[in-house]
Amino acid sequence: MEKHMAVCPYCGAGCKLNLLVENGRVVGAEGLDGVTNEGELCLKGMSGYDFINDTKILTPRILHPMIRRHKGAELERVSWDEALDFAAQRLMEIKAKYGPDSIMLTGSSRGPGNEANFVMQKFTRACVGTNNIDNCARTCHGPSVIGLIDAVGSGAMSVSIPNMENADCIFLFGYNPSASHPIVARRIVKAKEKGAKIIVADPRLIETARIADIYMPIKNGCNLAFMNAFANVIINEGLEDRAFIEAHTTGYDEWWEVIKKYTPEAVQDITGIDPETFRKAVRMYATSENSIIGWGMGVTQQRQGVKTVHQIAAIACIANQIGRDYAGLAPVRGQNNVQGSCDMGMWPDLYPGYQSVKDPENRAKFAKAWGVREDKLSLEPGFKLTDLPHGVKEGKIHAFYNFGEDPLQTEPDSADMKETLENCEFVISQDIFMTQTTAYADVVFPGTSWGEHDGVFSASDRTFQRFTAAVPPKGECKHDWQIFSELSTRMGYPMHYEDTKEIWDEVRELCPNFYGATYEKMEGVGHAQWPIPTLECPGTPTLFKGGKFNTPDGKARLLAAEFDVPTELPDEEFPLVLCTVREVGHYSCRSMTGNCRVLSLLADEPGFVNINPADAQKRGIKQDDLVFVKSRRGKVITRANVSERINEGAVYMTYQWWIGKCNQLTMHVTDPLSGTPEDKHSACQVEAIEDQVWAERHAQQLYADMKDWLAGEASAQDVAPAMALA
Amino acid sequence: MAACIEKHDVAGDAAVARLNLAETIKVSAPIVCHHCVDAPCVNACPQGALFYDGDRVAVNMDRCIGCRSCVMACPYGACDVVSRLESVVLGDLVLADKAVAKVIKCDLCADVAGGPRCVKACPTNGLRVVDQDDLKNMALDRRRAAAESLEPMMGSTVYELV
Repeated sequence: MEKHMAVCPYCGAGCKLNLLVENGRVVGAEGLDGVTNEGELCLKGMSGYDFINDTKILTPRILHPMIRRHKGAELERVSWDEALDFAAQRLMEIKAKYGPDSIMLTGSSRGPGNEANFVMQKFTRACVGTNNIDNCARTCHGPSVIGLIDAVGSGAMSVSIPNMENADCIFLFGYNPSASHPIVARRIVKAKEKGAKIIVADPRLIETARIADIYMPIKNGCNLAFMNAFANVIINEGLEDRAFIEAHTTGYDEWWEVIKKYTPEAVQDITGIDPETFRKAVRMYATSENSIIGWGMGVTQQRQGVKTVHQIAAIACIANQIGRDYAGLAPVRGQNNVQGSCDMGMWPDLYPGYQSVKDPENRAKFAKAWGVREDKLSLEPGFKLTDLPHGVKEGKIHAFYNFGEDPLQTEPDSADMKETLENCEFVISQDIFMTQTTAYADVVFPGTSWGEHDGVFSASDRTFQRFTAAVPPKGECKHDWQIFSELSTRMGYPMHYEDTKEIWDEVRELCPNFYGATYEKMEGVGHAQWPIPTLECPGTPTLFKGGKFNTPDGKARLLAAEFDVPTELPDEEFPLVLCTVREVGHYSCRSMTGNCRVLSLLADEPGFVNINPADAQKRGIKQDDLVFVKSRRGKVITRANVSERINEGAVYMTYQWWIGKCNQLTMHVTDPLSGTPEDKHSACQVEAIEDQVWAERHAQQLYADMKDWLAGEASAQDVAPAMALA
Repeated sequence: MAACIEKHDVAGDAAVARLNLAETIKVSAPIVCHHCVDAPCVNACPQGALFYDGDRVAVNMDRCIGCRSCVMACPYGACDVVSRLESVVLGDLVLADKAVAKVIKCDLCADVAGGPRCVKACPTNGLRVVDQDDLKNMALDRRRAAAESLEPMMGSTVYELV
């Protein structure tokens, strides 16, 4: 049996593992002693490898390039040359007709790795000539990246994952680590065992709430009011660090002007938390020696995500709970390489290494390195991923290049997204699976899977780690960076790389904060945590030490805003709040875990809607009944999980299900500051289905039809292109 | 649960988790067979599909007829019965597919090396195997603790006597 070192391709914890290979097939995974996982793996790490083998449980791997000769034609397998020529020609036509900004691209925060993303953004900027490049962070931690850059200058965790277990107090707000990051949850359990205080504020009684010293069952959609009041109590009870505020922050007076009226009493109706408990929690956070605030999608997928992040940062600053190894900010990233996509400049206003596209000096540097005229690189920030639907409707976006994402599953309002893909003149999808999105593509490029290529991932806490190929590429799959290079060369900007190390060395040269992260340093279970500006630098587990922030003046900005209610409130027709959440055994759009045998046996379609017993009883719904969930956008069938851990008046659906698809129900309304959808708050209704036998058959049929459709689209690849006439 | 499914995902077995997570407001706990000494499931099984093998309650799936007596008898909800389609064959010839009952209950992974897979898989060390020695040591520790808790009282009694 062979063993090949890799990093888990699921959440942002960055667990090192070995892939076990027998006869060219991946047959197992075992934990390695990596910096975050210390030999442990969660169920996805342990049982999430066999999708590589093309199990066809959910949908087939794509092994050959395919094209549709015109919109609406059948997919047809062609040679790589033909597929690349076709794509290059169509993109150049669209660029000539509508300009470079009519082409939108999205990077992949999943298996491909940093090098592939770097080459894609280089293709976008240097070859296409636009900054229209984004990644799925837009849909998840975008507000954390933006909000933290505004407030403290760096859009990432300020503490490292291993150090979380040494905190004296951990405050989790809108973050459910045991479902999203089991191996991070393990650090929180350890912290508790070592005597740390745990505070949890969440509408659901999440797993960590059980071990919390204070659990606050907040009302859905109250975030900014809650955080403003949290800050208010710190000041009103004299728990702030005046010296730190004066030395290391700006904007206190204006900030306090907003915050001063947000007493716990004033917001009690909004938060649902009695002022006494609230104050106790604030005291616990502010007076512990070292406190960490951890947050997740509960904060970011809201209408006021960025403003809430601003307030979280302000709280850490005024209480001086930041800039130490065990005190700081912990927005833990959802996807294995979503930190990496942001690091690599898959962001419409940032070059790799968080260097602004608006700064002419940065432009000059990148233009020189990439050998293009300065005016070829745009100073204008590009479109966001969530601009795609209206961009297509308004005739601003004519081509969409999708790389390893499945917006039809993961973006809000699927019906609208389907229309977008149908109406977009030219869609390329580069993926490993025939996903729902890929099925609408005009060109399908088969990339190699995680396990078939080398690269570097960035874990959530800024830790670069290498992963390696375990098995050779299947079929005609090419490495993603090769595909971008060959396409770019055809479009008049030649690119060629020998391997990922060559690409990574280019990244290091261009990004001062990453320079010391050499492949050698990351050999085996080695790692490099940015900022790592020199070859000698051991890496930086903790940001902002000594109150030195990464803002232009080195000080944190205290920012405050008034609370607004969520966009869509429950009413008579749709009386329940719908909130979308995570499934512990599945990941992202489920194209990977849904093709893993064990994980698909553990939980399968049509997924679950989690509902409080009182709400279930009112509707005559019993545990495991199939039900309809409907909203103004659509109606789906799913199974009821009746649980007393769910708050009354709200229901929770995990976004992994293709039949019980919550994004048929969510709405496309975004935080105007980040473009992040308000997935955590929309209105819905749940209905019992009388005839459960029919419902079971109906759900099975929908699932079978979905699989048949995708297998059918993929089957074009089984027919080899006709031999060219000699 | 995933590790349990993986262990049982082999021909002739049923890829179903033997331990199940039960969640209430207060507790989250994996519920699994206790391998009782006088096991109600063994007593209830008319076919000998469940039987004692040393200290554990073992499973012989081939003998299960799907009567669900064990499901009724188990006080922990640790037994289940599922049906699976299996081919009836004559040599290489498949005659028919028929539903076959399979009793689902923890076998302590007795047939694989390294002990129960769930114990190895748990990243927070939330599970362990408790054997006879552990039980004995636990009882000894508890007796000692109980005795020690008596000491101050004894002391004061002696003092008063003096």
